[in-house]
Amino acid sequence: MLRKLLKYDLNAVFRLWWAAAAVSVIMAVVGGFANAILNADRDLPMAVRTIASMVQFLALFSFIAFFLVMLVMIFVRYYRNFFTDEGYLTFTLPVSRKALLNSKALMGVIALGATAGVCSADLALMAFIGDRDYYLSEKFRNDAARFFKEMFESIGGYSFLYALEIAVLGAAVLLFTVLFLYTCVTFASMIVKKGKLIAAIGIYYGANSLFSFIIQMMVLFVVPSIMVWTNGLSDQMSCPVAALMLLLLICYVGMFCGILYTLTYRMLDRKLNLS
Amino acid sequence: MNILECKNLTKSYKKGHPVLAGLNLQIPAGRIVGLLGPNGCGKSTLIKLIAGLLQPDSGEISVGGHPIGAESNALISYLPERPYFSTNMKVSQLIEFFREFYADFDVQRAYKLLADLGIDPTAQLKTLSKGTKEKVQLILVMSRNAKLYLLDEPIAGVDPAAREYILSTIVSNYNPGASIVITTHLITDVEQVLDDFVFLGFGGQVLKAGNAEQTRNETGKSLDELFKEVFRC
Amino acid sequence: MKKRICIVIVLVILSVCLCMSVSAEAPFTISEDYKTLSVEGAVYTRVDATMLSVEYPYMDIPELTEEQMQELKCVYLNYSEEMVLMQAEFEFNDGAIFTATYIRDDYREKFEGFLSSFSGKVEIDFGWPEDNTVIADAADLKGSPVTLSEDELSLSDWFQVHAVSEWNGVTIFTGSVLLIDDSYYYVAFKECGISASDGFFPYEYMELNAYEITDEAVLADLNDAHDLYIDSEYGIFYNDDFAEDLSSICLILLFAVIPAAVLVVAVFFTIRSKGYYRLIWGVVTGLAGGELVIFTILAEILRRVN
Repeated sequence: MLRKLLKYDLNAVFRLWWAAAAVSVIMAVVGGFANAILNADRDLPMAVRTIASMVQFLALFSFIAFFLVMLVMIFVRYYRNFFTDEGYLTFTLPVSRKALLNSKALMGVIALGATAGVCSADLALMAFIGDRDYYLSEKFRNDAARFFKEMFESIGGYSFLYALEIAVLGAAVLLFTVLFLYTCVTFASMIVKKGKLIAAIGIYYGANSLFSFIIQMMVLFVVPSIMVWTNGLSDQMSCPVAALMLLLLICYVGMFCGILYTLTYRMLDRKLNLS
Repeated sequence: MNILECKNLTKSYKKGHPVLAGLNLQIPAGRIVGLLGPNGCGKSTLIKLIAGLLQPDSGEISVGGHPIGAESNALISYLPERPYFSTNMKVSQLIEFFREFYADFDVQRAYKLLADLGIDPTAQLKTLSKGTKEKVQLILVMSRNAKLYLLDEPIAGVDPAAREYILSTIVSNYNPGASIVITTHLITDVEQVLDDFVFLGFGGQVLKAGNAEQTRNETGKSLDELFKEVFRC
Repeated sequence: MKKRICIVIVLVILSVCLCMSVSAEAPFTISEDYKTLSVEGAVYTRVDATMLSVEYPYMDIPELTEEQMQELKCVYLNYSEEMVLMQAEFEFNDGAIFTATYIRDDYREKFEGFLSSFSGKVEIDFGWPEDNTVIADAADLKGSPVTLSEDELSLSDWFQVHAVSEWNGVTIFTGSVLLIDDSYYYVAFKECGISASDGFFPYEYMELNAYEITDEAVLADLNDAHDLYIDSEYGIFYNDDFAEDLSSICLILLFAVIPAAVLVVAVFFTIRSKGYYRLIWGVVTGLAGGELVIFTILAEILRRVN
């Protein structure tokens, strides 16, 4: 049943995704050409330089907009499917509440992950088009080979471990983003009878702002301490310590994902009131 | 054997004002039951509790021996009082959706009923009129071979000709071994199809219940007249 | 009448051509040894700018002659305020780039006078807040000679030292004051062969000869200026016992206390719950517990290292 639910959820969200992805790729190409124009000729008129710079900015802005649009799509899908009249169909399906929530969570992670992937590819495409000669040249190949050689020489096999940990941490952060959204929407829909959508947006925005502020303050206070403590690490110890730190972050983010999931599930399972 | 059992069911939206207060109700299998009462007496609330859309404050509900959950949902075919499909979907996509999720869904019956009504399966829901959307909804619900059909105000806001069609569709397409619970306050139209009736009063109290035909014979009154008598203002 | 109109038109065209030829850009010429160049009628001669800090807000790209283009691809001329100093960047056809600084001939005397007017007074600029500087004798900065290692240089904070005089936006940089573990050191650029115009970053060097500043008065001034810089830039959040303690407390709160609280709550609910709830609380318990274990291991490693 989870597979079936996920199929319909992904179909609904990816209906718009392709169009938005195509726009971001086009903007990446256009931005890349603007970049190439700026790099090629230092003696351009001011007007041309200004327009090219604006095009570059628009291209970067379009990548952010793409990500935000997907976040909105995920929000709308979750809210509509659960807390509008469509909820009458959703919650009367012969599927468990956990399957419904798991499908939405997976849909969110897959959609945001795909979006992040396309945005990263867009940035690479923009850089490539902006400086084609360099990226096709022997020099770039040599620089890249030297970079990887130096990386492997300094961190060796840990590079694969780091890559795996960063991928898992990325997925955990995406899951947290999605579950945080769902928890706020579900909470708003439980406590408010009328104007659920506005309440959901308001609670999400408020909670997100507060959460971001707390994280920034904590990072501001905590990072100096971490830098002081890790200052005296030898080269041999720095790699395993870095790997452990990444693992710590994965567990930490995962823990909060678990809490948010539990809260949301409990609200859907025990507090649902679709009147 | 009872397909539906409600024991001591209580539900309130506001503290101190219960919509249902200790309701006890049993619906046997293979019966068409009318859940009748004035507006606000808790008919829709009861239906939604059985469908799993609301959580009771206390009490138990079981459908076919299962508590409310995924298993009971598989046995229930629910028609709400309002459209509940995504309007971006086509009729054929909805049929496919129902076929995927409900093992008892009869695709051929659904297409036949659509053809009878001249509804194009390739049409998007948002292009259909309100009445047609409701008919599509009804067709999908009645194309299932469920054990319990919950129809919440199926003929409210519909013209008399359509009401007759809806009722005849209900009667001719439901699973014969199943039960149907119809909530309505338009008793005159519905009473000829009912096997049993339940008069639900404010606070979810069962004021009167029984076999419709037997009651008409005993009292010499129609259910509508009886309703007016019981719920006289 | 027609004849008069024709004469007027011819005169206008002739005068326009004349104006254009008169106002045509004077040629850009360079001497063979690149020691002299002239542009727009002004002559510039090479000057040593390794100790100078100059801003070049104006840029020009002169048109090259056929002969010049045989060797040069492009020339960029960056001018200082009043067009007194000019930094020329020569791009050759083979890809090589050559940069040189030039002074306008009619300003050379004044420039040399400025260079030689160095009175021995230097200003150590802490950058923030504005005018947070210490003025001292250059000789007082040269205490005991030391050689600073790569590790020390990588951990240093550094502040610019320049002569207490300025001319047409030109400043002479004499060196840099480094702060390493509460001690101050002076690096004299000329003695170390460092060009101020290239920018100075101590962490780029394997070792550097410097002088440990031992003059009490200068040290007191440096400490006062540094404290002012720290308080303005970072407030309580830097190199302060209270700040370090607060940071450690936040670290423990974030990575030990909160997960411990979550662990206790999760264990409680795991025991009390049934079915799926027990599973998900169990996962939260596992993650919180795992995080605490990893934090403990890390804390132990870092405690031993420090």
